Amino acid sequence: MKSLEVGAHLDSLKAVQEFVIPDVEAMNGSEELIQDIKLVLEEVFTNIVFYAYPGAAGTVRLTCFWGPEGTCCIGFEDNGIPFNPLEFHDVDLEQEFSEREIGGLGIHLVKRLAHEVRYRREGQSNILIVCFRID
Amino acid sequence: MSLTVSSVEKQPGIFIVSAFGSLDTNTHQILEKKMDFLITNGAAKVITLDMKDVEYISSMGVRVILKTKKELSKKGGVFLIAHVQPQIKRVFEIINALPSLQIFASIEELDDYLAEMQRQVLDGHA
Repeated sequence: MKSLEVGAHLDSLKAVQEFVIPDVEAMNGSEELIQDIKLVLEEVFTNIVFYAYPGAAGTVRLTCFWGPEGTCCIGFEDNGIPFNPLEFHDVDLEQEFSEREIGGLGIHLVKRLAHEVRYRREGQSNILIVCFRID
Repeated sequence: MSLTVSSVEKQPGIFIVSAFGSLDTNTHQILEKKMDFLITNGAAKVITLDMKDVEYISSMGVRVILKTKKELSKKGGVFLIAHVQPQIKRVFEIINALPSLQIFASIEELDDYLAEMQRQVLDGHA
């Protein structure tokens, strides 16, 4: 398992994607899968940047490991305020697109694109794990 | 990846905005500024976003598209999209945006639509 600690700001996004994507490419992940993972990384990470540390600086610790059934899993750990993005209200997808609220779209994409998403609060940490099937 | 945006005014108030690159958290403001400018200062009536060279979109990019569509329709304008790449189509599908967006597969198709629109406007004034 490898890990990376970055500042919780948007400038870190590139480093977050570069931490994971080369491994998926090395596993011959399809172009579609790589795009999906890139998008999920962006949505989860920006969510932490926007909500975890209101008015304060903080860090995010990333881990990348192989899960059961050959899944590629990425863990995001922050010490911000308790926040379970999976409980964020669902987007009303039946509503006319231009009438919709803007929030929640990113999390919806994460839930749909990842094979599995788990959240837990552990001590002072939010831990979110997303897994993808590489096949 | 970065984003560059350019626009041409095909006819008064009718703009084609071409974007190149990645429409994401770090770049979406470039497109947002352009759209705001065209709607506010350019008196845009029709804006077509040509996405031929946009390879990636995140929810922040979707947000700009949603906002542009909203702002334009408030002013009685129309927002159209041309050329959608597979990753972008997939995102639009997942968030069920396709039924609400007018997407053209080619500029010819778009030109036909605009010509028809103009014809209807002229008829309306006759």
